[in-house]
Amino acid sequence: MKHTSLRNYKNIIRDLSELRSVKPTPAFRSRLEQIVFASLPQEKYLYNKYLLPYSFRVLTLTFILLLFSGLGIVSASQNAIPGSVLYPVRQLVLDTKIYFTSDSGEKAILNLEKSENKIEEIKTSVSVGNDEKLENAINAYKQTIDEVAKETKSFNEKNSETTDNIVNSLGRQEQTLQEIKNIVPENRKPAINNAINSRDNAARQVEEAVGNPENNSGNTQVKSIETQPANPEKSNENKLNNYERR
Amino acid sequence: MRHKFSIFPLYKKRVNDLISERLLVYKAKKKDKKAYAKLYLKHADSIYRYVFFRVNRDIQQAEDITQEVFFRAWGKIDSLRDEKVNFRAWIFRIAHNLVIDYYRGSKNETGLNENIPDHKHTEEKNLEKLDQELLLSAIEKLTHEQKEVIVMKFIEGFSVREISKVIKKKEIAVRAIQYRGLKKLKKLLK
Repeated sequence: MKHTSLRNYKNIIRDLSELRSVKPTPAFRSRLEQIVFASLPQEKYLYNKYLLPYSFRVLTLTFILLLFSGLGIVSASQNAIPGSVLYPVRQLVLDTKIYFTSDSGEKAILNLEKSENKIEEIKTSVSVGNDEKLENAINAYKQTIDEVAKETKSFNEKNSETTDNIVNSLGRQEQTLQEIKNIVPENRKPAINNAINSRDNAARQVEEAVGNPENNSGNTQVKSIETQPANPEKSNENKLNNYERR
Repeated sequence: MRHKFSIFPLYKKRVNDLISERLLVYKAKKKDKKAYAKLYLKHADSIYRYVFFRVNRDIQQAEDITQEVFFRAWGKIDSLRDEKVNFRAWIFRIAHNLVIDYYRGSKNETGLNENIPDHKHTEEKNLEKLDQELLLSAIEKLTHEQKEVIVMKFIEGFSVREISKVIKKKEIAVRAIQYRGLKKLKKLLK
């Protein structure tokens, strides 16, 4: 009984669905489309069809949002430290700058900044005790510091300020590396020594390239002013006085 | 035997339809007649059918009311708050209100109308099956509410939720009306 009843309902529903074949007459449809739509009151357009279409506006807005977000991220990443989320962004920005720079002085400074970042990475790796990261950081540091030395080979008198910056920075790096060496366990000291050696090589190359008076074997022309006396006349007078005393 | 089918194409089609309808509604709200015309083409047959069965298959009335539905919808389209509103349910609400106005105007409060006007035979020529004719006669004998729910549910394919939004009743009430309507149809068709 129940099945008969259900079948009846199903039949009714099926028959009802067949009533979808009922449609308006073609005459009515054409009348509606031609007459009614033509007479629909047209209000003032709320937007000008000559203005940018919707999709273009959406794309433009999306592009602007992405641009400002990107700039914001880059700006925020400038102070990122190794281990933070934005640190890779900072590295990427720096690498991009190095890639697109043609000036050797600027390239050297950027590589120097990169080497200082690598020292930060070394410090972080030592503090967390990650040997693999430490090794990677040291290798990266060596590469970067070699780049610095390579760029300084083409320096001339115009780069004296840059050279001073590099020399000062290398000095600070030496101090930092020595401090790190003092605190690391014995088994990690060889790795730090490698880094220090790379720094020393780079410093030597820089000094050779620019003729630092500390290095006697270097070219003394650039900083020869430091070896000359301040007042040659007075010096001669002193010599004369010393001679007279004799 | 159950047939295997993938729901992904159906879902994808439904999503595409939804997106394109929302876009059309957005444009129609900006008084784009072409977009409105597309919406009309999509829903005209359904509206006509709904009104046709509600006015006891009176073709002239069905055409007049259908025409009025689309006219009124054009004027009121700004009242659609956002494009997420179901356009079909909204336009059927307009049709529902107009049919009620028609009943009030013609004082035809009950659906038990045994008098079938002559011009209906033109439409009946298209319905050859006798059982279909019996079904149509039986539908006319339902109450307004039952007719409305039965037509929207089983002919136009509305969900219970959509019907409840159109006739402003709770879903449980819609289900009850549907059940009573089907039961009455079954009794009438015996």
